[in-house]
Amino acid sequence: MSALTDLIYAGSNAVAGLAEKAVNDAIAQYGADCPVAFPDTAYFFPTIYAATGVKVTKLGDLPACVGVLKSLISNKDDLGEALNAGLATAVGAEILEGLKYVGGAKPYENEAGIGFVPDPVIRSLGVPLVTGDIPGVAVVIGKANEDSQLAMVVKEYQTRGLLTFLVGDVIDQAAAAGVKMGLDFRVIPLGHDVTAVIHVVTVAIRAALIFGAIPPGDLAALLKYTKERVPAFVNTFGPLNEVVVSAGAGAIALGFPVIVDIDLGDLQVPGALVSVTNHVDTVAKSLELRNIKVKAKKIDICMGFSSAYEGEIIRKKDMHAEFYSGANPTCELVVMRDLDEIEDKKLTVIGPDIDGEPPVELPLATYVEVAGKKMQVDFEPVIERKIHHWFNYIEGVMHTGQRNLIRVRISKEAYEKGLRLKDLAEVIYFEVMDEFSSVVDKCQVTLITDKAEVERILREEAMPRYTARDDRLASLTDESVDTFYTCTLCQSFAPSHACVVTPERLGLCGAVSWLDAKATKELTPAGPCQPIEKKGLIDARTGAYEEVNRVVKEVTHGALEKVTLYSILEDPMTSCGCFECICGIMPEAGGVIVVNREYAGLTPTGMTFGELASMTGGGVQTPGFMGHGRHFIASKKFIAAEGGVQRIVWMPKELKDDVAERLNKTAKELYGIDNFTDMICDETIAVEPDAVLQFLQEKGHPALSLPPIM
Amino acid sequence: MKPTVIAVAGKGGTGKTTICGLIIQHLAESGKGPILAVDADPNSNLNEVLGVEVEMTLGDIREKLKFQDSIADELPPNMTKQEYTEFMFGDALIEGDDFDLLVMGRTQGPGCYCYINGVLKAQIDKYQSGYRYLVVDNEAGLEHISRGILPHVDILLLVSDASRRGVQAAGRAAEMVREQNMNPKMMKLIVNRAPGGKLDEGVMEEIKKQGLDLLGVLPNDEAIYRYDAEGRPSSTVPKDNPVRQALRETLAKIDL
Repeated sequence: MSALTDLIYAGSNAVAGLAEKAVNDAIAQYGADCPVAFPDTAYFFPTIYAATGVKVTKLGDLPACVGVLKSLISNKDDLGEALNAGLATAVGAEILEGLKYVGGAKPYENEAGIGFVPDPVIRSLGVPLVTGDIPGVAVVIGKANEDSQLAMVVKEYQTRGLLTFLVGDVIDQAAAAGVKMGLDFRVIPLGHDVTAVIHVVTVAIRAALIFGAIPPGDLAALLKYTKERVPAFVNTFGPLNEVVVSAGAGAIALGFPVIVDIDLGDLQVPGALVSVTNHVDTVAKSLELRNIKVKAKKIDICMGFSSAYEGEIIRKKDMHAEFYSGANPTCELVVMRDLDEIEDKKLTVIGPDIDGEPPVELPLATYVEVAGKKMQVDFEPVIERKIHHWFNYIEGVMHTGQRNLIRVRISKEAYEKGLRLKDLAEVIYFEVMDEFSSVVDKCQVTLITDKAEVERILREEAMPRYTARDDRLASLTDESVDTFYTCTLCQSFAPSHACVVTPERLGLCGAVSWLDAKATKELTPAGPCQPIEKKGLIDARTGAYEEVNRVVKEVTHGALEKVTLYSILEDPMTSCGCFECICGIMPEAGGVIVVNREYAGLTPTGMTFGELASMTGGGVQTPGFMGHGRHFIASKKFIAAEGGVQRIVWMPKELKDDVAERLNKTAKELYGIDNFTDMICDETIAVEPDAVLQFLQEKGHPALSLPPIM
Repeated sequence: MKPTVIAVAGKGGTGKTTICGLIIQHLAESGKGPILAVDADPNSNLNEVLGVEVEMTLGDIREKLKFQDSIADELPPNMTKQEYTEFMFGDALIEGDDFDLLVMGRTQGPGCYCYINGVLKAQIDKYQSGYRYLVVDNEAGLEHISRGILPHVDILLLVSDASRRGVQAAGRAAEMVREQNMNPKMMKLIVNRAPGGKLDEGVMEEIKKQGLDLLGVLPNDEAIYRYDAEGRPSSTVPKDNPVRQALRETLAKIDL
């Protein structure tokens, strides 16, 4: 038997033994009926559920799982068989970690790691992963010989925008070396035990269930999905023991290459298990092995530039300069010009730069003029909104707000290293030409700190333009346009899903409006947003169009035959899995409940957001369930076929307050109801269906007098 | 990296807010900044103890969001409430050299905190990683912590005066912490305003009876009273003030 398979089996057998003992001990202590669950997930023990279809809910379910686990360890001298044993290690790790949560315990509360990653976090990661904003996922495990070597690798991933999970002593080493951690910084410590690695494995596995609609129990489909669609890989630091090797085998079975920093000699498996002993090469080799392409950004400024700097906070003490609407006039404006009106790459600063003693406080107009044969006025705000992100991507620059309400800070460190206003202009120019190259041929950036001039721009150009844009947005309706758009951005994860984006129904992630879709079509003509001519009306009530059906069938490769735009019951639109909200029927009230991703409690349907969400997603059409964005709730087209927003009977308080103003306006316009949201129940009033009904009756909720919804 | 979260709790009149201010001052002077001070007790004025002015509280942002229709400068139509809150959060943060202060502000009736709590929590989560310590002055019910707006507490310090009733109240607070599963890494009692810096046997007995873990005893002190009466920030009493000295020794026991 080869030394490698030997090691894998030794690790798998060790973990199997530990898991079996732990299960027996737990049953002896708590009893077989004691419930056991990971927090905030609808997928039970995700690895076991996805691989076998078994729903673990109590300790008594686990001995059978241990049996399955052991059956995966054949001890045969065959690499394929040994990789299966690696999966057994994953199952064992899941059981060992799951047992930590027995009786509602919070094992990670006082740990540096976060442990199990809740479903809502995974759903929120969907969009950045499909857009390539997060180009890949690195799992870093072990203990490095030197903190600095580890930090170099992790910071490199950070700079390139990857999401990094840390397991083991590397957590403390990264912290000691000053690596910024947290979801915002895209470095997530999981836990110190090697078994904590399962928490990233279940992220990949739940991605397959949530976005890929892989049926639980279909192990082959699961492995295919993770291999083809989850761009993850593993880096180990320090000496390997058999448990790490067998966990690594599990990673390889899922399609994730493992890069180790010790010399494995001829134990290496090309493409899957590779030694890179010089840490300088670790990142490049890892990305190459997983085929992750990172956009090479080469902006000539003295500070770092990456999406990983977006969460950076600059305290007043560390601040050199500030541009703040509360203290000085400010604005950000992108305007379209004719090609002969502007000069490409003309970067100008008008007024004083940020030199001087801190705090330097100045007015600021960020004035960006763009021209291009394909440029349209509608794209101005799309580009303008990106300024916020671009500034934040600069190390040492913090940006909040937009338009005429902004706060921009530049750190002392950035100033001392030489960052000046010209560099900000440089960044904007570079990014406009990089991201919007298909519509922008020329770009000219002017940063103005001269107070009188900023005030003039604000008064004469910016404010009138903002108002005009708002008016245009408010006047856009499904009736007033002749084209809708598909959005198949999520197909890299959810291959059988497509959104249909209309002016009154934005993409269900909440991130793609009709204007965004229109701009996307121009920016990447063969990209995810394709036009749908509004023709072939079948049913105006449900919003069914022959052309919509035809295009949807085409872009989902036949997975979907037809969808309606306005119905939750008749061919409802599908979802990928990263929706902000989910809407479900509450038949006894003749209405619907809407629940947002952030709400962790139960709803009157007896299900949590996660459980409701697991009913749909992955492009599956489930009448009675629909994922959508927050914004859509106040739309006049919200389940219009079933009667519209007056069917909404229950929402979490937080969501209700968020949408109240616009929802009340819609209800007033459609039905003449004042303060409609006062009639909608929430968890602070009641969750139990009878009590919800009683509240609705007291308030005279309109849904009660409508015909039954089903 | 997660900061160490220190919560100070106790009923009104125990000197809890002063102690909170002195802890912040101590950490700042020991070079353990930056610190995020959070005033989560609408009945106390941590800012006065620290000697800083409050212009806006998180509660004010909430009002702005809630009653936006009735105020002149309504929300910009292009901004979501989350974006607007992110922008306003900077206004509510009172920034110093070694510490920044965030004032939670008053609650307005039941239930109405839900939405704003959600967006504020997101901001607090985002900001907290920039600090080494979070020091929270809590009202007796520890509401902001139990509702999850403020992060998980590492060190919970219960403050009592040197009376049996004071210790009993601290005991009830400890009970509540256990009932609500707040699970701080450590929960300790500090007894304040002890005459001569000593506790008599009756009070010691009560501490034992309540199952509290006594960390330290601070003496009654006139200077602090005088600072307070004169409207001077009491966290700036001289370093050799007996209360400050006793607090330093007390905090040293838990490596602060």
